[in-house]
Amino acid sequence: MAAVKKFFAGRGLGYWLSLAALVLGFVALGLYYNNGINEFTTKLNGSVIAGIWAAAALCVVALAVDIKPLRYISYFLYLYAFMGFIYSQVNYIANVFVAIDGNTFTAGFIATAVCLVLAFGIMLAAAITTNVAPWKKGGAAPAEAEEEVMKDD
Amino acid sequence: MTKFIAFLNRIAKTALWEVLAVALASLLVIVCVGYQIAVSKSATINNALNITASEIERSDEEEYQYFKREYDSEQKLEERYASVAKNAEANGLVLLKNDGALPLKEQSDVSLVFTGSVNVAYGSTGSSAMDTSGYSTLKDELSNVGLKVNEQLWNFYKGLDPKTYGRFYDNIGYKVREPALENYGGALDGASGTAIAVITRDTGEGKDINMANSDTMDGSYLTLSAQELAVLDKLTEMKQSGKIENIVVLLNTSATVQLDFLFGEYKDYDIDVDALMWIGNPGKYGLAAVAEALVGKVNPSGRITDTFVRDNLSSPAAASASYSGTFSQVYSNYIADYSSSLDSSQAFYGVYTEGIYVGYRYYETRYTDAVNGVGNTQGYDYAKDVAYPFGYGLSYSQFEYSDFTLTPSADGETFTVSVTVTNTGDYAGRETVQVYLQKPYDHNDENSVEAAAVELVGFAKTQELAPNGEGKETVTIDISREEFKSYDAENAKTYIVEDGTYYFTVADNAHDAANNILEYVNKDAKTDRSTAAYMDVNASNNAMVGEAEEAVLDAESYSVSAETDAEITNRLDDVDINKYSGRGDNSVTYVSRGDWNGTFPAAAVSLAITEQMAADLTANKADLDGEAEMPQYSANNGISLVTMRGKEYDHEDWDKLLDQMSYGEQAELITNAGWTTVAVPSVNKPDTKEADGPVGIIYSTGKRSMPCQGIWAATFDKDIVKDIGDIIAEDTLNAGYTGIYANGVNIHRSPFGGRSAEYFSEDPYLSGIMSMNEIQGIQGKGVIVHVKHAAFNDMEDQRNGICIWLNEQEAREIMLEVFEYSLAPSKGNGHAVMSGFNRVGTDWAGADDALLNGILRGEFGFDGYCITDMADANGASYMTYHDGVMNGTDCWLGNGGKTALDSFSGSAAFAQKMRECCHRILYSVTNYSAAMNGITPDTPVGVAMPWWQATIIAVMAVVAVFTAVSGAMYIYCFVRSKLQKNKA
Repeated sequence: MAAVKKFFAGRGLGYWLSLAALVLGFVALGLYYNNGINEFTTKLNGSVIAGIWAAAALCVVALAVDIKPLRYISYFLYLYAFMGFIYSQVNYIANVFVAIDGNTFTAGFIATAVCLVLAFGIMLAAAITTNVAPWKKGGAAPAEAEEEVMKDD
Repeated sequence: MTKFIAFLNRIAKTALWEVLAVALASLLVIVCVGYQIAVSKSATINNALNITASEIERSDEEEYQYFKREYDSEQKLEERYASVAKNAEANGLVLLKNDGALPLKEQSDVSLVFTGSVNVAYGSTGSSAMDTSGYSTLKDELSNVGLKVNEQLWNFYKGLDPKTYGRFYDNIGYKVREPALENYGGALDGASGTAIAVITRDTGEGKDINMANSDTMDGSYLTLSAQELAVLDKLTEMKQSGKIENIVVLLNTSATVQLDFLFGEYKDYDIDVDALMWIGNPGKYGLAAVAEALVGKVNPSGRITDTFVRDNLSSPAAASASYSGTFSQVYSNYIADYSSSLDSSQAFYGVYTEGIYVGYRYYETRYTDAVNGVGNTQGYDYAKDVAYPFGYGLSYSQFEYSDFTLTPSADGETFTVSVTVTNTGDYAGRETVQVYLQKPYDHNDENSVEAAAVELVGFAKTQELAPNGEGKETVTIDISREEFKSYDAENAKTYIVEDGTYYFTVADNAHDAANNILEYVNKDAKTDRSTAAYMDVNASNNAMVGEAEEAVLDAESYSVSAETDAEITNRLDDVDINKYSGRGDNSVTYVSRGDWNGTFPAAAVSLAITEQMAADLTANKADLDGEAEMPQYSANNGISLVTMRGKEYDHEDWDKLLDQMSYGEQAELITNAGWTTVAVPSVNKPDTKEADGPVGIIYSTGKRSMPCQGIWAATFDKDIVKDIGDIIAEDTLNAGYTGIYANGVNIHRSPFGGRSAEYFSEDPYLSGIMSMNEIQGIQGKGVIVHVKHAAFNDMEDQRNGICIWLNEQEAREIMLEVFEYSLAPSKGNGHAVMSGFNRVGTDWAGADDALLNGILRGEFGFDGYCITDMADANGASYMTYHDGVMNGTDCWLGNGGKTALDSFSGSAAFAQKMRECCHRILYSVTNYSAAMNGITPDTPVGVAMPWWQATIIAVMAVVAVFTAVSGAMYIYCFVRSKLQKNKA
């Protein structure tokens, strides 16, 4: 228990952001399963589902291992899933914007989109903040590490 | 310091590549998926950018110009269009009341009242919406005819905040917000001369007019608000005190404003209107005609095409809807039992309880029965319902009718009505001659087929007749015996001609027609009581009535299609809830003249989903396993589509031509028909380009638009409507399009139908004749019409999937008759039809075999193609390729492609249906589309990648390269720093 506490106590901002992105990804996935099919869209889009699963998997790996590019790749996959979501809902979006039938964006659609945007946005932030706020508390940020290397040089 | 700068440089390098790599990779993801989205909407984008997707070198030789334009310069086109449009408004506006206020004297003062005066509803929203910026104002046009417009009031309305005052639409419905009297300051007190009050109401696609929740006296958008009534009251007070001279009201809408305010029905308001004119939506040029009519340069000759009533809820259709507040209702057990298994497109229904009693057919028939004391009409008061009957309209002149004759042809198949019209008034003008028919109906026979007391069966308009008795014209109108037919869905299950007496009358309007016949029948003592005491007029003209006798019931003459020889019999039993096999406990009482009080809607119709209904509501239920042979593809027969021009639909060469198409080409032609039919290189078919809309192509280079279709119909002039069709086609071709998603032909079933601007009338005969002439005008120029919306899409409420239930007599006699006039080869010969979003019973309209193949094609002889309504953004769950292709839809107004139908490639039955879809499209295009102009038998047709697609591909390539470089550099830096760190 103490080890677990120590483990979490030692995590920095990037870690927690990655964790948040992971949770949001799964929430978005659940929302998509529930709201992805409507009268405008008859099938769930495989790219969205695969994108979120892959992004989440990399996110999990990035939580275990501090490899910054993994977080970037996870971000790209979330972004890809979001774009795939837009692609899959384009008829619905068109219908709303044409504004003839009086349809508006449903709470489910908005929630899915927001979760996906937050997921890729936070994942990007997680990757970026590793530059200034270390993944592990007390650990050196890459810039600082490079500085250390230069000093050694 | 040096070390610090070196450090910064190194950090900057790493950060630079990182930022660049992330930014470019993000861009790449967005562009790549964006490209997929763009390609999925390529038809839409091409249409918006007016891009052709084919490569063709067209011949200039005369013999290959199959359709010719007359107005091939912008100036000529503008002049002709303006002339036709203005003439339509001049002949179609209807003077409903005139107590001497009109015409106005030139140079007289006028004061424009209400926000509609500065914000005219030139058209409607949706598929006929136009950019009206730059259209002339009412003030401009009134000034042009010499009237002096009160500047103070004009400036007052112009100065109002449009976010606070005017007309609005929100999720609840339409709203109208006029300033209250106290907000006018002194502006209204400054009114002078004649007050011209413009009462404006918007209409549009996708939504019906709300019966409730507007900010009017009773919540209906078609009644007046307290603010409007107060202003009219104030104007009346000013008139009485001599501050203004007269009050003229202009009704600026395609809908029928409730006219109760003219009859003192609001006790708190004293309103005395001197003149009332319906001007519809005037389009770009109509206001000039309105102004000329106000000063007498145009003598009004239009007649209303819908009944204007004192109570908009008084018709069966409106009353039925009023109990639930909207036309659509949710199945009573949907939420409890089916909300998890059926989606929202399967949740709604609407019932046409009125039967054939739509519009004046209801009012005049119930009135006739009330006068005759039959049909349980106790308590009915026609005068409380109707303000102005169908066909009504005044002129500045007066016309007398004489020498009425009714002459049957030797074979009894045609009846010729002749009458002489004399202009006895002081103004030159035109007169509309209307012929109505009364079919026999026996109140004592429960099997008697429902029949209206009067039906319009013929009309004509005189030339302009000189005044003072000098202008005289004898008008002859031929009426086919076919007008005698009624559809007997219960016994004969086909059209019959009842035995009995048929009465013809020439009348000023539908109500006069009813009275003429009542008096005629009474005079000859053919009824068992004196009806005169019960009639509401004393001036009926029984001299204008003739009769014909049918000795025996005839169930043969019209039981076979004259177009196709197909048997005409019940095909829509599953659309009548009382006959639908899965009805369960559901039932509907249709209005019957046998028992008016007992059958008039007294409550909302409640329907529940049954197990069979739930199964029938599902999509993709067509059988794909039927016996069929897989057709041939990609054969090299060397036939070019243009060589099929003029060949019969069943000509053997069609098979050879269709063999040349690949499966992918067929799939693309069928599924990628959003605003186009795509080019097909294997048969040298050029692409066509289509666009909305019913009152003029929305991409008109001059932002030109016609008045609303009700105004066209109100002209009662076939030549004017043909001219409209002709010039709309010219404008369409001028804009680069060869097809138009028009004309709209659904019926004004209720005052609250949202799309009244795009449809003609409550009367199917008038609508049919007008549609036929418009189509002949349009298609004569090589522009294919897409007659819409087949069928029973008369209301807009919940149109995406709503189940429409009605009986077959109403379906055939009211709703489908106009499609027959539009599509039958011997009539309009329209070569495309657009299906509705709605369901017909439980089946989507575009997958209703009985409707599309049984009636439109089988009985009416329609040999064009059927396109869906906007599949690009609607109806994906039920407007499926599976059901549509198998049941009569030929193409989807959406974005498909060569692979869109790959999942059906194993079904020979589906493949044969696909082939027939292509056949119908190709047949229509080669024979009726100007897209064939310049195509010779040797002209190859290629497919071009649009510039925007090439541009996106180029951008993708560039971004991909830079992403790769940036990414590589970032990884290099990253790995290097790691290695260095490890080394350290």
